Amino acid sequence: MTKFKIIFKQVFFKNIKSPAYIIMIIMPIILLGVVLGIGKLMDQSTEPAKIAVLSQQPAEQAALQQMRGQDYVIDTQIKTQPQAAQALKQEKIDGYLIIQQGNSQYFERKDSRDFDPSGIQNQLNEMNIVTLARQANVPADQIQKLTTPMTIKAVTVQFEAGQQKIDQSNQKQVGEGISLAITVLMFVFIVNYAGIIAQEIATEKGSRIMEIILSSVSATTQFFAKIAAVLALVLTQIVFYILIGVVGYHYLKQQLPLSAILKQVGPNLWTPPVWYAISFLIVGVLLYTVIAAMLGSVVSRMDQVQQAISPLLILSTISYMCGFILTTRSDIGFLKGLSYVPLFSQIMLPVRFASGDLSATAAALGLGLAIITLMGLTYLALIIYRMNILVYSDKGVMRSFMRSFAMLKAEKQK
Amino acid sequence: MLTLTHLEKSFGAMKAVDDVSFTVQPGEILGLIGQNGAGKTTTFRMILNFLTPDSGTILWQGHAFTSRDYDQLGYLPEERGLYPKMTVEQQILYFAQLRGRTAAEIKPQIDEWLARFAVKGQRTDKIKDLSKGNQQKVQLIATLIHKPALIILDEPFSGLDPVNAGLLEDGILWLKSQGSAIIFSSHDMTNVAKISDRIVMLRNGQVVLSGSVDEVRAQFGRTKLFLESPLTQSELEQIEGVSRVTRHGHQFELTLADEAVGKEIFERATQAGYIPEFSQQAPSLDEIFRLKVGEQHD
Repeated sequence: MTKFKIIFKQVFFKNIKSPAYIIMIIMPIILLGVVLGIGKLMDQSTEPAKIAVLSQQPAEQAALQQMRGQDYVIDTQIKTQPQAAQALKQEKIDGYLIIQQGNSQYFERKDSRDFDPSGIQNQLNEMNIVTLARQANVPADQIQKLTTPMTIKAVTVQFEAGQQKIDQSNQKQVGEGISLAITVLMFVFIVNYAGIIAQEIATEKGSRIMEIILSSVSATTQFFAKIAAVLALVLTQIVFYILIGVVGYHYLKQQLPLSAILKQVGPNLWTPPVWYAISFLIVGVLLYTVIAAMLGSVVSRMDQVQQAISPLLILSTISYMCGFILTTRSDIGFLKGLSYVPLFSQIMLPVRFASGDLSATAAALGLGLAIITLMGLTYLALIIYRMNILVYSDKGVMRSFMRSFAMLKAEKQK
Repeated sequence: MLTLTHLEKSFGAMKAVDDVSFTVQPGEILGLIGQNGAGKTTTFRMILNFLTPDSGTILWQGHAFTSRDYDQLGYLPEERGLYPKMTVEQQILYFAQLRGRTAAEIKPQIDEWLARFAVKGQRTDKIKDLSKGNQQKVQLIATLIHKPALIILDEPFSGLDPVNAGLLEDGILWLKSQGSAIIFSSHDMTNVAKISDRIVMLRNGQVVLSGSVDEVRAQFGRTKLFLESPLTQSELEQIEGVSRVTRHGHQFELTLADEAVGKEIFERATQAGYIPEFSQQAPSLDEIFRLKVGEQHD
């Protein structure tokens, strides 16, 4: 086994078995579970109301009992008012409707399931129109036209190179939902993984294990093994969520009322905005991880870690907030410009892309910029890491960092 | 064989190591002594390639160290460090694997090494659950278990009680018998005198003493004299060439400017016949150390 692999395995397995990592992975699922659980409870409370429909004319009653609606079910066994009153009393039904020309009434208990009879009213009106139209010998196709409801369909458009284009998915809301999820996930990922790597390095440095490790392996191998292990942890988390997502999707798509949401979201889950979001997530987390590794190598003691990475966390918080603003306000020029800047782009560009404010070309450009920056920063971080990893100073993080730059050319280390 | 030739290293205006040369043969123990800041750790760090010398060469078996050569090395840093959450076995295996050994090679040896250093704890115990002394022993085992050809121990005796220091001495001597070349630094001259084949003393980055313990002591002549005789303190102080007389009960400890004075003292002390003690010695390593450090302050 190469030394790269040995260090990679050690860092990967140590973290993957740590309670902090397991909690970090499971927490969003628990939260989602809670949200869905509440949804399901609400769903139960909105189960269709059971009602009886009564009319003094048996023919009309038979026709009425054929009515179907999403929010009600008709008990066809109940045909008289006393039966209905009895069933209502025994809580077998939630209410009953007595249809009388001009003066229909709906009876319900105080604790009955909420039922809005106005929906049924439209159906009754429609039936009434059909009956009257038939009596007036209106042709069937005319009746059909007469009863076709008006619908309004929302169409989302986007402008690319001055041309108006209809957004194929037509799912602005879904885009916004995805954007919001990206912002939150990205922030959580960055804060956690930057923390993991900085802690990892500072612990080894502070406890002087670093000296033993570096007497057997080069700082470069060790640095890249650690970064690779963090990348593997990120990918593990993403793959885990995708698996949970696939399993969850198949299970939840049969559940009311989620099926309706999933029908909208489902096709959008494997589209360019999501690919870009995942690419940006990986590149973004790596960018922050590399900087955190550099900062972690500068500290002398464990307790300086938080101080060292706090500027990084502030930066990620700002990019998070900007991303958050972009989910609702995509017209701010300054934020549009900022969204291309690496260390901000990983949150802001996917949000803009998902909400249809950005072309795929522009998103690719931003991703390319972030990757180039990642390569440059990795090189710089490696130099700083090699210079500082065995240097202890009690002069504080900032001074150590400045000294590193001063020594950059003067000192040549392994 | 490890060969250091004219090694130099400066940090800014401060010369940490100044023209240091020495060799360590297989099966030889070299004690590197000197005050704090004398350049011992910097020398170690250059051997370990943590620092690049400004000039001079470091050769192992006649060539510069390669990454493979570092697998033959065992290093115990001055400040110890282990992973608290690892078990004893995991910790030892991890460090051994970083030295290119396989778990299969090392695992069967762990119990033997735990017994050799009388570690109180199982291989399945977490490091954090061990006492500080036992953690230190595990660290030593992790440094030595892969039977390195070159062993560098930075202050290995610090923090060890006499019993554990004895166990460590035995361990070092055993590895010497296996052919390892060993360098260690220490402030405790008793340990150095006891196990070193040769010593090198650094002061301000320069070698001020070098050779076997006996050779080094011989350089100072037999200028220490322990005497129990009818002569009084004032009589002793009046003898020319006696620079200091200290009384310990019936015994006097004399420091001589010249070892030849010993003969005259012997004759005067034995004028009346039998005396219980006359022991003329070279100064101890400890005294030489103080002497050399003192020169700096004069």
